Amino acid sequence: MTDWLSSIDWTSVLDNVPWQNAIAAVIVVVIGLTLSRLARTGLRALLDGRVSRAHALLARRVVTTGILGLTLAAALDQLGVQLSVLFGAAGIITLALGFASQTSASNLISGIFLIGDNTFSVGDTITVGGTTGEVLSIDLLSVKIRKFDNVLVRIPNETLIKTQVETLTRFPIRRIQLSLRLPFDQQVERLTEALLAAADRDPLLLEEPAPIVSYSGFGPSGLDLNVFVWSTREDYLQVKNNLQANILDEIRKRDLRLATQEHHVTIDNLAEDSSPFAPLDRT
Amino acid sequence: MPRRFSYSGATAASDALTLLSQILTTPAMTADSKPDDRPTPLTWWKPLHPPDGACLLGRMGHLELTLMRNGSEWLIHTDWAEERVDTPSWEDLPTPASRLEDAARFLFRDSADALELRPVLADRPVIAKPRTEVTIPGDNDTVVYIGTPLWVQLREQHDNDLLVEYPLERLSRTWFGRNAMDGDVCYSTQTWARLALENFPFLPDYAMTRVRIRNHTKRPLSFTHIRLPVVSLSIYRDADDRFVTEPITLEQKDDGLAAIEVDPLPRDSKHEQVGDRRQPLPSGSLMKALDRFF
Repeated sequence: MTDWLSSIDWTSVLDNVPWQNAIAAVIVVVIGLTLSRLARTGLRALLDGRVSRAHALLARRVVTTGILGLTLAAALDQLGVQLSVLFGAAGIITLALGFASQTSASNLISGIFLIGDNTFSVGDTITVGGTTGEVLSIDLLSVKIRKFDNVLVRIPNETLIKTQVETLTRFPIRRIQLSLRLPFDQQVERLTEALLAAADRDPLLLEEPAPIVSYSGFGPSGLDLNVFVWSTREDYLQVKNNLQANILDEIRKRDLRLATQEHHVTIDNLAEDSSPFAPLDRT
Repeated sequence: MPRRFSYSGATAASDALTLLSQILTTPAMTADSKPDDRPTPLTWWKPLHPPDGACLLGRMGHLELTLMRNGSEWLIHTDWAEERVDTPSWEDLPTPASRLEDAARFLFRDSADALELRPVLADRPVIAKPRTEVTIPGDNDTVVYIGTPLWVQLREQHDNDLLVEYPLERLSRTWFGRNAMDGDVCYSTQTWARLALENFPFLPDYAMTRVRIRNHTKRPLSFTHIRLPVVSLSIYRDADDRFVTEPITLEQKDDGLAAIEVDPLPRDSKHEQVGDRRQPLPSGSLMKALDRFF
């Protein structure tokens, strides 16, 4: 491209361009820039509030870039530059750039797919590969999120396309799960009653879907239980905290206890002589 | 024992004394009270003109509302009472400091000497749960009355600016929809869903809604939940000083959805509007209004 541009004798080109064509080229550029600006403003008015911010941004960029490209081509045509040669050179350049910037191109294409996919939008809270935060922007190359410790994280779009993404704020309500273990010597019904009473104490917790206690199996030191409750996504953390505090309170009130990690070792049929715990001094 | 506070929409002392005597002589509500014995809720919903520095405690439903005027400042604090108060009351508090330690403060440029209390309905739809499952046979219809808890809006009287609003009852929230993705968060209340308004006890902190349910399907319609679009209903006072809303009609369709319409009150009825709806009902909308379980 550089060789092609330097091979052009611009003095002779300009000398051979009639002044009317130069004025026409300037007018084309002015009209193109004006059209581009009008299109940007019009699209903003048309799309804002109707589609997501990411979609609106993509539409504005595609339309304005298209108009500016056509304007440039028309202006060069007025100046007598042969566009077929330019496009041929541009094709070679694109190929070269494509090889050189595969990652960027991959992110760019992933970004377009991501915006079209509409899995999340600006303002949502997402989890990507263990990183959770609020989406600040969805750009063509990357998504920027703010973690809850106020750290900005830039995630390349290609990563987002390949990785599991959880959108925590997509639906109005969320389920909260707490796992507990009840010792074998405790009554299951009493703990279930305590858990449901704890859930009933919090007005932020949703009445329906109703809280559920389910038994998931026998663990090494007791019966494993799960309690499931629902809250609005805004109250998720508060409800989770309240539930744990209320469960502790209800368990204490009922003199119940939860299982801790216990290991019982039983040693049978050990001969007195071979017992490792046998007294050394038998006299 | 705190003495009752005199309050009034007018500044005349005689008017205040009249209201004071009304409050003092208002009997406690019972389920079978006659209309003449009922505590009128309207005595609670008057503009308040306490003297500068005075502190008031208002009780209605489960809400305890403490107000204090301090020059161009209003202090507002709420608590939930353990016991429900059926007879609305206002009284003055001689030592308000402890109650108002964490009160919300509203500051005005000039002296704001009056607050208006306005009844409104909840800011979300309400799910009324009949005590037992209700069934309406196919091609049939019925009318039930459902009470929904009121909210109180506190407004600066001169400019009518909304300061804050509170529910008069502790409302739990619930989800109502086709599934966990499609629906909305509503308030939940239990109802007897009685067939006649006269059979309801007089509840000054509730507004009654007449609900006609039409089952347009061939199958019996059983439900345990009724979704009331109270955000789209206005509040009226009827001839018995009871708060009521416009009647609504739920027309159940074959696809499980219902058409909801807000019917106008009869022209000849003695209803006086006391509170506005929060938002209009979307016209021609079909939504899930009756359900048996989540």
